[in-house]
Amino acid sequence: MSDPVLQTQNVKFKYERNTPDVLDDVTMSIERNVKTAILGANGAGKSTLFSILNALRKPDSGEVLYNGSPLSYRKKNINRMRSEVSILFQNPNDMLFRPIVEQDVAYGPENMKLPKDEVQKRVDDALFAVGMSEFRKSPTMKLSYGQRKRITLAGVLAMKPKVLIMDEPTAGLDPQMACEVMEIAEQLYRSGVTVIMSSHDTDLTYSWADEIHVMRHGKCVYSGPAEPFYSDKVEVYLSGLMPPMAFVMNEGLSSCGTVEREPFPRTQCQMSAKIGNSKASAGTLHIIPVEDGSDINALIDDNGFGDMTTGIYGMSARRAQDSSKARIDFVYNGPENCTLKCLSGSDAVLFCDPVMVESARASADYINKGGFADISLDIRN
Amino acid sequence: MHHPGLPKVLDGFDLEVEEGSRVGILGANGAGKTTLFYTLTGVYKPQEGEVLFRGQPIQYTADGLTEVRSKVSVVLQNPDEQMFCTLVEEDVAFSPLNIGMDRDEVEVRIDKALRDVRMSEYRKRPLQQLSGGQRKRVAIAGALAVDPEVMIMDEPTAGLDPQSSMEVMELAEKLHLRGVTVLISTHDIDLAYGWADRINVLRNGRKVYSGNSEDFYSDPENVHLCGLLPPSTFNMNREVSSMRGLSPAPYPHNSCEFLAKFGDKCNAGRIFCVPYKEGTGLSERHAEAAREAGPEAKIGVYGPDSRNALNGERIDFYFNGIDSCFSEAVLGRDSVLIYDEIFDTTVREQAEALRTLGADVRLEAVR
Amino acid sequence: MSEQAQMDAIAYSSKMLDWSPLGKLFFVICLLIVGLLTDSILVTLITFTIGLILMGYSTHFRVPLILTLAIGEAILIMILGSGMISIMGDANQPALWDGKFLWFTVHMTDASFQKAWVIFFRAIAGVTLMLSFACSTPIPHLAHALRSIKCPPEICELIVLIYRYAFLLLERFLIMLDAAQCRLGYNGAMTAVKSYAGAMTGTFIFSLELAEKSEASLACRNYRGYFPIYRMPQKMGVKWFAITIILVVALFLIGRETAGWIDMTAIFAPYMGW
Repeated sequence: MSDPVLQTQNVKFKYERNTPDVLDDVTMSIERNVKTAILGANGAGKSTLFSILNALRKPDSGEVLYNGSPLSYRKKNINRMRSEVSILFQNPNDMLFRPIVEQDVAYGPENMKLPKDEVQKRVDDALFAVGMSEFRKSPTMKLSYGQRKRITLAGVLAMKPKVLIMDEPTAGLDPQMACEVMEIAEQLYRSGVTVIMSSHDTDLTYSWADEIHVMRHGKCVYSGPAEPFYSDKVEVYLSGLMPPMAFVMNEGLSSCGTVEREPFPRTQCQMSAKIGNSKASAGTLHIIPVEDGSDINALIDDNGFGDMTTGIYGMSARRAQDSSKARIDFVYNGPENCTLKCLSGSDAVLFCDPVMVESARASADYINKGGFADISLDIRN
Repeated sequence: MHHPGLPKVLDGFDLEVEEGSRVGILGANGAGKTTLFYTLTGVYKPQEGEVLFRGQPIQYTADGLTEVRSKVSVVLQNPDEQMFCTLVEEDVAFSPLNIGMDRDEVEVRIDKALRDVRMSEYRKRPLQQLSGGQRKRVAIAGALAVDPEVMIMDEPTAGLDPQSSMEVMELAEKLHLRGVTVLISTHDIDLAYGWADRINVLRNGRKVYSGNSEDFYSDPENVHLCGLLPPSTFNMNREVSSMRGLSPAPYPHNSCEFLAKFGDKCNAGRIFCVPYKEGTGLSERHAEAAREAGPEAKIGVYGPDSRNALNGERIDFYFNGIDSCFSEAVLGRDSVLIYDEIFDTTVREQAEALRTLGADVRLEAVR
Repeated sequence: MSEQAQMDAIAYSSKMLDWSPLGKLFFVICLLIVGLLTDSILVTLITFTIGLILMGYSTHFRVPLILTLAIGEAILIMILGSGMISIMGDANQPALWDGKFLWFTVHMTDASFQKAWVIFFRAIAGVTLMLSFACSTPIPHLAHALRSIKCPPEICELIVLIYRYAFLLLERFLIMLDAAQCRLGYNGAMTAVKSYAGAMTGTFIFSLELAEKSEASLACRNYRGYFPIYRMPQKMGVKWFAITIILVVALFLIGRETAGWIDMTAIFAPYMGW
């Protein structure tokens, strides 16, 4: 059932008179708790759309609806809306307002007029979530680009948004940090936040998003699942994009009959399983939910996981790994890599946050459902 | 070139870059890539060690540095940091004028450089009216205008949409074929994997690896420590090969090679090649090739000149034409590939690579 | 976009962009001086008309709103100023209007009324002339013009650099204000003040980092202490010199002959009952 959290109806917008519309009749509906990606070439109007969604700019005509009711652009309503809808800007330098890390993270909650101890708690939690707790007293100026990105993410998380808009969240980050940011996005989604992301990286959004909206010259030219869009080569070309590699290869192989076209593989491991189609027996994927402070070493020893490949996924899992100094094989892309291991016949164990279990098993489920392999799942509670 | 340099951020750094090679520089944020690039152009003088250009140590005098910088060009990650003029053409002319180039020559260079990055129509526009992606292109044009023998690009595709990234990589390939040594640093490991002959990996200011990509990615421990992840093509090849009981080598680097390795073996299709020479007519040859290849055949294009010369002809693959057309061929279908003449070598190399993977793609010359 | 960026865009699309900046500057300044020397309303009217025509030509006869606003604002200020001058005449001369107006003692004489008009027309002529120069000459061209009249090179390079970075800093500052809004930065007056301060600090830090980086990136592009200009704006030819001098002399002569030709008092008398 459709339950839009943010909608635009026939929104038109331009920055100056006598210039072409930057947004030209955009009608778009962003569903609550659906992983949404906004795609488009440089200058297609993605960032402008975000500023409209956050009421930074008022459309010249048309309406923006939040939770089904039109934005009134009265200060009070807007403030209430902004305390629930947050934007993470692409460049972290645009969002650093205060010289010390913890002060900067506290900026949003303080502006929300929260009580002091609540602010303090939120800052602690947010810094913890992005793994920057030990930097809380550092000057922001001394931090690297990647660290600044984490701080600004913490600053947004501290406002506990219900909707989080991320503009190019992985741009300029090295692969591991990009991977971590995607993990945080996934975790937010699993904890009930609607995450909207713009990106040029079609591979990345393909593996993550459930629904895509494609912008072109200020218009929204497509909304829906990714595959029908990428099947239309002309549209993809006109939109300045390239189809994701997993999609291209699947199309290629299915066109000459090597594999069936559907189900569409979206990640490396789904693709590998589909192409490999190994008849050899697959291993077991153990998924162990962990809390902050769980002793991973003890869990490995108690369950006899000693020789298995290990992976972690999620914030609590990371902290548990950190505190228990456990040796983990896959610190990044845990679910993907562990599932791949299972495909090649060995067993793997994945420690993840309780909310992340669904995400952790997604690839294995895809593989089992498609009949490409039979991975046994062992999910503990 | 040989650089045992040792500035603060770089430590005990030894790097050799072969003339005419495609070099990838990889490393996490803050590993020292940008500092390395500055050292290579003589902006930073190493506190210990020296930087050699073609066997000669760089002379840190005005003339010595001008000499180096008229051969070695750098494109920085953030275009705003390296643009100092107000108009596009002024900025492109900045380096050539600084190295004392003749004004008539500068005119030719500006024209060519802007055409290469497809920004000719913005020539007289002020920079602040351009978008981030367009500024990036102008920055690249500014470096091209020197007509460098070594081109260093720091994250050339960061912030660019996928098609613009493709164009930049085409440009890098074109420079390589003209004999320019190209160094690219990037976080896009898939891109570096498909492109570089050789990678150098930096970690905390030290070079921890130099060699081909496969050997590096085969050591997951090291990859992890360097803040990187293995490219998806590499990962998938390893897993699928092991599932199918194949050897991981030969390694596929792009989609068509991957398909050749793992697709059902069928008779490879033909590619009707149309090498395009600038200034000649394209539409007749396009029509001729399309007629020869048949109505089913897809048509791909590769290279800025060919793309500029198109005038409403039917094209199926505007970008990534080589990979797309070879994928078609691997899957047993004929296609037409229009490319700038200079990419002849690239096309032949691709056909050769596919042959080792068992797909015998035939290249048909179109008159 | 900000006003500064708008002015820049206007200058670059000006039809007078290719005219010699030094020539334009010389022309405008000479005309201003003539306007100041003369007592003739006719001459100030002529210079005002020249300014208007130039501005119209420069903007393809579509004067942008921002220029209209600027002129409007100037006229308003000058009406106030000239008004003040006109009502503070010499007490020994016969008054056209005497009495109290608000909290001013009014003593408007024929001379003061005439003088106010001359000053008013001089001022608006000056404004339109200066604006016609400003809206057709981007700062880099001005810097080049200064360089060619042997202004110290450090100052010229500084002008160019500040000009270039002003836009970048402004861009950054505006984005930061948006970012502040996203984090409820204007929720209350004190918060707003803090947010502005934060944005300024952020912009300042950015400017420091930018300055540091540009030093290296300038070196990358082999910067050697001066900014070369590729497309040189035209030099100030004899033509410019000749036209300006002829016009100035002509206006000066006209001014001498026509001082007092236009009697504003006489024009207004029927309406005001003087």
